Amino acid sequence: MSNLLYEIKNLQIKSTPKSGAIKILNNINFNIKRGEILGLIGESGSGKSMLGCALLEMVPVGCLITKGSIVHHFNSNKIISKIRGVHIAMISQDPMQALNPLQKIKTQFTMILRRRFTSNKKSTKEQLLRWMKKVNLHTIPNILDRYPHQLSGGQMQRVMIAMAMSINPDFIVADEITTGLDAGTKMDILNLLASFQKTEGFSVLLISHDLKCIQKYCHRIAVLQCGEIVRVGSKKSIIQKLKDNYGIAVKKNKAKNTEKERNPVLDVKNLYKSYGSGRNSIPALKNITFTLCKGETLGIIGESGSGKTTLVKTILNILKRDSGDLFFNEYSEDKSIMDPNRNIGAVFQDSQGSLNPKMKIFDILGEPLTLLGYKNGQKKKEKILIQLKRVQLDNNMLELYPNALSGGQRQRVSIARALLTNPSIVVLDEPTSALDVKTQGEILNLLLNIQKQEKLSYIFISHDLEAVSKIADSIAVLYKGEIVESGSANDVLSYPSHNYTKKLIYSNSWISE
Amino acid sequence: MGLIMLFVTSITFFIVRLLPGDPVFLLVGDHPTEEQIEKAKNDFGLNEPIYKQYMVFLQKTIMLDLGVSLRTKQPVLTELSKRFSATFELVFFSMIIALLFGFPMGLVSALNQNKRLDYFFRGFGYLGLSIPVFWLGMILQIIFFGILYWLPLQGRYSGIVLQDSPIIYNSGFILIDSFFSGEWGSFTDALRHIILPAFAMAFGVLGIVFRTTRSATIDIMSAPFFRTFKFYGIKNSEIIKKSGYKNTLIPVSTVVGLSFGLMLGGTFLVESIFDWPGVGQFSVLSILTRDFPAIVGVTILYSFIYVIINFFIDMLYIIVDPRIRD
Amino acid sequence: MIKVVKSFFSKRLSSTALLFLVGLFCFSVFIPFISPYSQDIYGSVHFEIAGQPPSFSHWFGTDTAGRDMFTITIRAAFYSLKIAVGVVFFSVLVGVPIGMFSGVSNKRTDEVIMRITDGFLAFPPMILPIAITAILGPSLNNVIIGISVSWFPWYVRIARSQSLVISSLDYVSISKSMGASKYHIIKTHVLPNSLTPIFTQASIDAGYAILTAAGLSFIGLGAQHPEVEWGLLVTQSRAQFLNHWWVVFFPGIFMCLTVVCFNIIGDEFRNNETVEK
Repeated sequence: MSNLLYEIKNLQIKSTPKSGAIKILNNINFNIKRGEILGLIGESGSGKSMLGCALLEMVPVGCLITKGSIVHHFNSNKIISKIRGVHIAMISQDPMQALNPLQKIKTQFTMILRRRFTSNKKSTKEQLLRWMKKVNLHTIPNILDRYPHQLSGGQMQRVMIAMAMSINPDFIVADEITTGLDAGTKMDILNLLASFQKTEGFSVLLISHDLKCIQKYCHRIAVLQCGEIVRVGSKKSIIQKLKDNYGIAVKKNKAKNTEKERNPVLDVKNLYKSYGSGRNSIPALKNITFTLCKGETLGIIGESGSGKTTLVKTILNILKRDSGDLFFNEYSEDKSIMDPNRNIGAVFQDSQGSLNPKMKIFDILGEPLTLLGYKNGQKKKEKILIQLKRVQLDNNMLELYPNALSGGQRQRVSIARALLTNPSIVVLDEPTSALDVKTQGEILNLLLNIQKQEKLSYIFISHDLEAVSKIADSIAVLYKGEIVESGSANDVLSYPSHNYTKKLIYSNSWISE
Repeated sequence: MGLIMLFVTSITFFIVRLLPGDPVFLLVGDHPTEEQIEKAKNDFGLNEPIYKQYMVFLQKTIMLDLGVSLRTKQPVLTELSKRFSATFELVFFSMIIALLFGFPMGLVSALNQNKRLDYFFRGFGYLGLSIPVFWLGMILQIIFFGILYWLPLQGRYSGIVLQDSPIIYNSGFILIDSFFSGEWGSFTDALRHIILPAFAMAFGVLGIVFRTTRSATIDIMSAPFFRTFKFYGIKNSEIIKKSGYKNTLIPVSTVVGLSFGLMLGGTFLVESIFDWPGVGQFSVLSILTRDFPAIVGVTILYSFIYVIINFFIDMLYIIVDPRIRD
Repeated sequence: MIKVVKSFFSKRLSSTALLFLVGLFCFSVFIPFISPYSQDIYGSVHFEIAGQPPSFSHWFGTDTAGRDMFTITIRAAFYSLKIAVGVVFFSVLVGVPIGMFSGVSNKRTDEVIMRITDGFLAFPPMILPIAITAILGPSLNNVIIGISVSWFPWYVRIARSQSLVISSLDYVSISKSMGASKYHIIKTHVLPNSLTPIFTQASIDAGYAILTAAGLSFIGLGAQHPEVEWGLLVTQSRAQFLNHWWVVFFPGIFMCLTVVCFNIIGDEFRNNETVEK
């Protein structure tokens, strides 16, 4: 019996000719050993999940294995698709969706057990209970008679682990199993999986974008970048290399604003906003207060669900705030603004959703001018061309529709549109997080350049500490609808005081060390 | 539900009153005498202001007083309830046929997507959606009565058979009554009579049920939980059989609710072709004789039934979907 | 065989369907000028050739009054298509603006509009058209009115849900942040992006309008002479259909084909919609 479980040679996966024959994975070479946890790390879109699927012979419709081979060494001569659920198990991301919402846990668990073992009803029930105990879910009353939505994400992921364990597998693919769970639960889930691995000795392919979790649990690491495995090796060597690379990236920190004179342009005071009414009302923003100065960037850090989007919409006055004041200093010293204001521009995260797919780029850029009362004509066109040049886009793009543009180009269009009303403040809601690293950098640089030229003020909202640290002068941390900490960028990042901020920075710490 | 019924009643009232045409003629027929007109105006309160008439109309409808038929001189409610069981039997039987064929066909079609069987079923489904009910009824009559002599032309039962084997139970539903009386002669006779009209009615709904089941099943097959089971090596058909079918029940029950409405509309046509002694046939006769109280009565009755059925279907969601229950 | 079926479901299919409908319409417009039996359209009778089965000179046979079934079936297409287009046109014209307005309005207005819409939708299909045409009196125009009144609420619903979905998108938020009015948002964003689902529904409904109108004709509430649509054509021959299958068969087949074509076109729209997303 060889020490290897999988040998993957020269694997190439393309989308079908119909969908453009794009290479999704190329020249993939690596092995998986018995009894190891192999970490597969890569950014979203690098093809991680596709590789996981390929190992299970579950390449989705629309994609084809065009080259190479996957050889397995399980104790079976059968092809992989016949031994799924016997020798191989899978745990996927988003545990809340992983089971049928209309059926009890018991029924669905039984289906999977029955596929593996033939057994009578009574022993199945006993087995189920035993597994629930092993993953520490036995304390929940009637766990087996519950429906998926009656459990939390962490609990559901435990159920999924129990399912995977119950078939006594030789190999488990764990695809981003902690995404969407909060920090504490993440640890618990990974510890659970690792402890099972220790006692049972199966192999795991742990797919993640989170270096920290990979670093802690894996024996070996493979790095996937743009569909190719760029490195495979022991944990130590890989981590060292990655650190070196990232180190360079972080050094390109923003040249600090040296001007001493700080003029506030926007004052936000005691902002409250809640959804629903009466007893059912859910507070989304609580007592938000901050000041934005001219030519500066305020970074607001928050994870999804922290109230970011609500904050953006409230500042833009698309959503009516419940109480609080929004003073716009250039405009009028003491008049709290209530209506959408053309001095505040906005760029959103989803470049696709930000542009009307039925409008040409020219019309998209023309919209703010139309709203300002410009008629179609030379003047309008000139204005558009100026902004287009500023965001470094070609003139011939004006006749295209958004679908024909890349994500980075679309985001540039969004920026140009925001600038067309000559705002003094631009709200940037995760403007880079849907882009790849290279484009992210380009867009950030573009934003910084424009800021310098125009003395613009930015409100930069992101969950990405690195991006915020690059661009922000001061930082506010948004947590559960409240600003828990604020101050100059350096202070907040170097000397965090709130627990949440510490946690955030800690989970990114190995990069900035 | 009550609110919707109120809306239905109100819309009916305002359509009758606001559309051009003197309401008196609607109430007494086309060629009334002066006295009839005067009497009707007094009887129905047409001299009162419209909001008062509206209140009276609502009050009467709540008390299920739908007026008197001009044609038969009987209360509309009596006329309708006499014929209701025949219609109900037909609609119910048709729905069972539509579900019995449409649902499995949809599942099979989805599992064999883009294969020969799928194309065949899809063609069949298209046909179901496009065939005019009354035309299908007539074609069925030509084939099964005119050419093959297999099935009776029309009616609900043959008088002779019924004489030979009298039915003991009397709920109005001949199929059920004869079945429980053990009168097989009557039962098969009734069955032979109901097949053609029921099939004519069911065909369109079958197409709808088929299409909905098919597309819902295809949606389910790309759901994350479906992938989970596939990862564990369970076959598509097995997953559908043991788990996935539940998810399709929700969209299917929605269209079943809507389809009851289609069928109620279909009774007008099918019952008059097959001489089926139900509400639909009665209404067509009323329409031909411009018997307006009867027409308004049927409008309200059918709408109420439709509302009630859809109310029960909403209840069904609660049974199927635990997320709504909580 | 399988190839034929497959091509039936491919893209070529929708263009064939469209071609059929356009061709049929043109044919029905010109048939009075090209058919040798064009007088039959206006009700002339020839009892000496009554009830003949399909033959070389009468492709679809003749009815009990000796009229050429081919000529009058084709001519009937004109009126059936007129109903289809009329119903869809009025339903969209009334329903879509109300729905879009409802979608961007405040909660109260939206609620009131939706409740009234629900009221209309609580009638089983067919019932409201029957009641309306029964009161207005049978005629082709009244059929169009009757069906439109009971169907426009569907468009209110579609337009409303579209405008709700679209107004929550980022580009509308940005438009709002630049001070755009409701009217501007409907005109530049909501309307252009909701055309596909509306066309889908309209196309499918056009087919059903023909079926419903035919049903109304069948119970004596539909079009009247000389505006003979397919339903009336089938109904006219009801008394003798058992011995003269052709008098009901051909108009019915045409109805069926037309509705199938409308359905196919609707499905094509729907497919485009999913591709867009």
